[in-house]
Amino acid sequence: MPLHRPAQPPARHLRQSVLSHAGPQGVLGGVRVRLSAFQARRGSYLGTHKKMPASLFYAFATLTLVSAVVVAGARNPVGNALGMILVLIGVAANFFLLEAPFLGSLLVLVYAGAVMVLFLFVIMLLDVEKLSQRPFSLRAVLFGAGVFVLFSGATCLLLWSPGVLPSPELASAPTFPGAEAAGAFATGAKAYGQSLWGKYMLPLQLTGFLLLAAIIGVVSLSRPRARPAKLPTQQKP
Amino acid sequence: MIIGLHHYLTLAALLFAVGLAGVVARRNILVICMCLELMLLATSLALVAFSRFNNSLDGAVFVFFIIAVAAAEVAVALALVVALFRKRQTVFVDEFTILRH
Repeated sequence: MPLHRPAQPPARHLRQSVLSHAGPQGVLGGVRVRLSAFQARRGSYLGTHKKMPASLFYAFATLTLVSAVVVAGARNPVGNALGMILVLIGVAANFFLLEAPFLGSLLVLVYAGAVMVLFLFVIMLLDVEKLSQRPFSLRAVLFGAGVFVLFSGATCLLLWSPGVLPSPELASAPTFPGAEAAGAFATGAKAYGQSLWGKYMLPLQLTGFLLLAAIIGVVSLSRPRARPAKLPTQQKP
Repeated sequence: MIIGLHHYLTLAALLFAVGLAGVVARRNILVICMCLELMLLATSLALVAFSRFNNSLDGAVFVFFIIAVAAAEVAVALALVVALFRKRQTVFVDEFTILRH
């Protein structure tokens, strides 16, 4: 399997196949023709994407939701943290399916690699028996279930009612100069770099300042309370 | 069946609802922090799906900032949890009654 996508796919052949799939009449509408030309330029990328990930999406969505319920419901905090790691794996896989591999790997590295390790550190630092001593009250469980049903029901009703949300065709992956020459992963990272260091330069720097402020805040929070130091007595001249 | 924008948004909504239910129902402050992370993840998923289906990179770049801000937030929140535990020897939010009168 070649590493690089072919720069020039057989355009005419693909366009003909798309047209024959679309049926004899109505294929010359502007949108359809433009779409087929687009597909021809991008190669068979869209076709493979549309067929493949249905089962993968359902598998990873199930994994995500089941372990999210574990996160919200487990009594032992270590179980919560492990469920959170599974949620992260599921969401990262969904990012990969959405052709954001850079974000998926960033999620695994930063969240599962750093944030969850921090959580586990704190859980082990504190007393686990004191963290998980109490049984659930029925009221809390009913309240949580009610909130879940209300929110998800309202949102899904809004989402799936016809005409609320336009369902666009799956557009091609974001393009930038030289995208065809690079591999799939470089596409994500390179386009990201161009976005971050171009259009989003100021938010990037502000994020840096935010991280610096967080570091200073954490250090000053976690230092033991300092005793008031004795000031050297000042001698009046 | 083709997976469309609706499917991803439904998954994000369900994930957000689970996180919201955990935040309002649980009393352990560590679990509340994790459920907040769940809600942030759900919005990230919705943003990535929107940016993918609209052929634009902006939503995905927002997710980058969400991840950075969430990392900073978790660090500060856990430092606060440790400081509170040092002072009160508990992590259950209904026992933090310093400001109640």
